[in-house]
Amino acid sequence: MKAGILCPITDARQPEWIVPSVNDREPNPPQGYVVCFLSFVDRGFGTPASRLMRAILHHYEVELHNLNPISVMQAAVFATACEGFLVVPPH
Amino acid sequence: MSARYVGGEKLPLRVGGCTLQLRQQQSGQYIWSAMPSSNRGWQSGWFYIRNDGGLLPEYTGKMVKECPQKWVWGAPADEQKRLAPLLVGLEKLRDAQVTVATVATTFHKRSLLPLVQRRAFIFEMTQDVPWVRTRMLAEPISASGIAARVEKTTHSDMKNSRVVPMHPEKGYISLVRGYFLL
Repeated sequence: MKAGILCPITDARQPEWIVPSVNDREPNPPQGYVVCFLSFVDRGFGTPASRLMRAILHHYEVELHNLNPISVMQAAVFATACEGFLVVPPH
Repeated sequence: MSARYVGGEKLPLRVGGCTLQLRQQQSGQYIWSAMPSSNRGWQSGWFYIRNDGGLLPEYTGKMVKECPQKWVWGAPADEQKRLAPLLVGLEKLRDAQVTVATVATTFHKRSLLPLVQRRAFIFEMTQDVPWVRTRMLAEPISASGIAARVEKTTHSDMKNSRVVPMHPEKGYISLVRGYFLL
């Protein structure tokens, strides 16, 4: 949050994001949460996820943490190029 | 899909094994796109993010060990004819020297998270559109901050990419009238 990447938490009962416990050597997200990386947020990802991002994950049957920063950047640029330059929804 | 090798044995990756990439033979039809050759250490910055509405695939811990058939290249045949006008538009953007770095600069300048569900598409984002669920960062990023983010997330060859406004800002590239309104 100090780096301006994560938004401030607004819901104490169901925070927008959670720092893993020091005991979590492997991901073990609570119910209703998935694993994400700071480098994804830095490249334009956040929740609720866009339709394009959801479509990519569901179509290719992968989970968010299966992607890498390059994939997230490619998707972010594609979405922006469609919406901001080609003036079409990024479907 | 990438993998790691331990003693010559190919092992699946728990994270980051799936890469979206441009089809090599078709890359000339897209804007100039090059990504950094290294994102070393990115896996260490992980956390849990709330899956609002359960829209993202749930975390299962499963590893992807093989490329499913649906990972083949290209849009479905019946969709490809719909791409023609977009390819013409992309050609104009390439002619105007729009690169991946150009696009990244514009979304940072607008304080946008492009992969977040928004109330409006970017081309609908005029000044009278309510801020909530449109722009995702409360504070604008400084010019030096934008430059640093773009430099970190695109290839260094793109450092001096041209900055071009997006629709509907003044000076955007018109793809409709056959010439550029720059």
